[in-house]
Amino acid sequence: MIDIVGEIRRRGGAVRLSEILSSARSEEERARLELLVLWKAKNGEIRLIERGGEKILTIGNPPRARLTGEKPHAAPESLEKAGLLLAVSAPPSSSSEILSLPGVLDFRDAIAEILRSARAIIRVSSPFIDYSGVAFFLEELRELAERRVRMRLLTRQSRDLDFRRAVRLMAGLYARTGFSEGFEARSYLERYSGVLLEGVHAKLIISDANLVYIGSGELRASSYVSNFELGIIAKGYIAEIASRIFDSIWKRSTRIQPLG
Amino acid sequence: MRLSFGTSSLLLEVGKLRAILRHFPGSFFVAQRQSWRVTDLLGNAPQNPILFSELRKRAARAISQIKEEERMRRYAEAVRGLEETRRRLEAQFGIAHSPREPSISESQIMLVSPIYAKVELYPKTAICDKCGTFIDLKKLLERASRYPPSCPVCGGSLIQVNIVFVCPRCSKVVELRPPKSIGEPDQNGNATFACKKCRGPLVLNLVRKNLSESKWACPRCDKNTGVYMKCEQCGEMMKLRQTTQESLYARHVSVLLLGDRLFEEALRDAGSLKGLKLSEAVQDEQERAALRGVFALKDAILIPEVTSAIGVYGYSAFREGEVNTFRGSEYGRTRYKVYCCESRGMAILFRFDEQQVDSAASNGEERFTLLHSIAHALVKQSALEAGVEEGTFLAKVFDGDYAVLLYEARGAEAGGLEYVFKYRLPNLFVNARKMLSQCRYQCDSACFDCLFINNALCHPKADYIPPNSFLNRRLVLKLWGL
Repeated sequence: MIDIVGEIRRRGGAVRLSEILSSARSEEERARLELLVLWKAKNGEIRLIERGGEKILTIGNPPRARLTGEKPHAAPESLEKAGLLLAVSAPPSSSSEILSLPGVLDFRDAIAEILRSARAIIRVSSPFIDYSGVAFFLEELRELAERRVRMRLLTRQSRDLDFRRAVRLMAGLYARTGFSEGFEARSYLERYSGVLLEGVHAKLIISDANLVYIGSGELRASSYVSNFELGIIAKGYIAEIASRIFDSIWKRSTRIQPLG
Repeated sequence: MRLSFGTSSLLLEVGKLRAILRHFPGSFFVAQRQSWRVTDLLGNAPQNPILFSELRKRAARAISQIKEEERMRRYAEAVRGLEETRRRLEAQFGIAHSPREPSISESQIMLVSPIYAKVELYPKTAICDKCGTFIDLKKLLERASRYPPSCPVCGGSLIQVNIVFVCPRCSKVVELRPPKSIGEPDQNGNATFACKKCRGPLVLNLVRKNLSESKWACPRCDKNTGVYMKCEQCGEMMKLRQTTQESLYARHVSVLLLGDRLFEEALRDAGSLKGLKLSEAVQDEQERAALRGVFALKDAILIPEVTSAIGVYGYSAFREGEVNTFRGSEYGRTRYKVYCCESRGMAILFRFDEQQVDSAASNGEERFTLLHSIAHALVKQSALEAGVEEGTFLAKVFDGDYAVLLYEARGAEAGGLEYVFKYRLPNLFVNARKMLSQCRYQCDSACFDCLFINNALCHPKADYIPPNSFLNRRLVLKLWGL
């Protein structure tokens, strides 16, 4: 009998139910397979979605604590094993309580791990950035440049000095490793007579169209230290769609000259 | 339905269970493109003493209850309303809910295990396909010199009118006749009816799509009258019905035995239920957990032999109509015939998780509805899984024990419940769930595409409930949903 969850992961996070069932060698095995799919869907390990008359299986929510008095499931040990996680930047007064919940990661650790996991490209959408926020991940960013991982930063251009220093820091890291073309920053902001017409406000960090952080936290010191920020980290299909959305906004944005 | 021969009554050999479920006296059926009626079932007395004494007891109780209800209904109609009568009786005498001894004793019940069925051509009415003249076939067949008989007016061929009047109250069935106000039997005895005004032959204009639009007509004086009749027995306006439809609701009693004990008793004694266990049929622990997780199936057991008996003691023409029993008399005493048969076969007892069932069903009635719906889904699906005809497996609901029993009502040999239990249990549940979730009409409670089974096969309790009632597809999907 095939490992259903493993099979969904292998196929990029989503697979048709009919494809899974077609691997069965007999009608009995097919029914047994379908029974296990139903069970895993009921448990929340996988999700069964109906789209255009076809049933699609995706990775479900991570096992969660239930209100019925059942013991909470153990938190996944690493991002590799997780289908979906929460990334929280909790105020110091409540951080230990929040971070002990299953499936919850510290926002800074999560971002560092996403940056480290990139192999080809990292897409960051952070409307507001500051120097301290970027400097916090100096090591991870330098490593990205050294590994020749391209970076696309989508933000809102500002005359603020801190903003310019932050962009310059990233561009400088890439320039020093001789891979200056690997870094590109763009601004998506259109105003008319002081009125905002279009602008970026999404907070995304996408690694290789495979792993994505979607939430409220951004590359700013306040997001790590004082604010309560919450986001999800997802793998596979969601990351792929998020990267496509990012790219379509990227096309409409204007380039920033960081070192100019 | 063209008359091909003139035989008006026959004696046919019948399958016992088929006779009890469908071909009981008073029922209609179609054969050789003609409509027939069973007038009697002939057979011998059944053998198993324990089984049939219990069946006799239950039948006596059921018939007594019917008589009591009828008596109450008639009395209530004579006063104001049933509820008010019950209230008054209770207030004055405290008898409305007092336990009553059955008014019909067991000795009045006569059990017959049918072998032959006496059948007759019914209804014995026809119209000419050329001139439309309405003909009393009984009279015509008495005098006919050649078969098939032809129209005495124009010589055209005859078509049987497979329509009868049925009383919605007392379930009386009567052949079509023109009302006396518009026509009367022809004086010459040639089986036609003459218009009262002009003496011309009466014609029946049938509108089969909407029977109530049919008319009696006289082509000579151009007079049209609706087709209606009042019940001679109770004065109610009768309804038109096609005999080709399955139009009668049989009343059944049934008994299940495990060894020589009643199944209900054996169920409460865990030690007495012996057979192949769920863990032996579904060896994979994960699959068993899945059956429990998704379908709330706590346990299942294949019982090697249960003995079942089913008997028919009457029928009604409408779901809630009065019941016609098979009454006769012997030595001056009223006897009630109950046609019955016995069968032995395997059974599967499914026990469901109490907590999960109670979370899907909020009260006792909903719980019965839920388990009854599951029973119907499993009856339908198990016949498909085993590749046997509908009616081979029947089900009983033990809602107090959160259990459903699927049993073989007729011999299914190797392709029966044993095969389903050993090899196709996951298929049974997965496909039953699919059948309900993919109902073509996405009905709210139940329909022919999901939970309805043949009326004759639905008797989930020892007592009568209207067939195919207390069913809800959505309730099952709430339990079996994701």
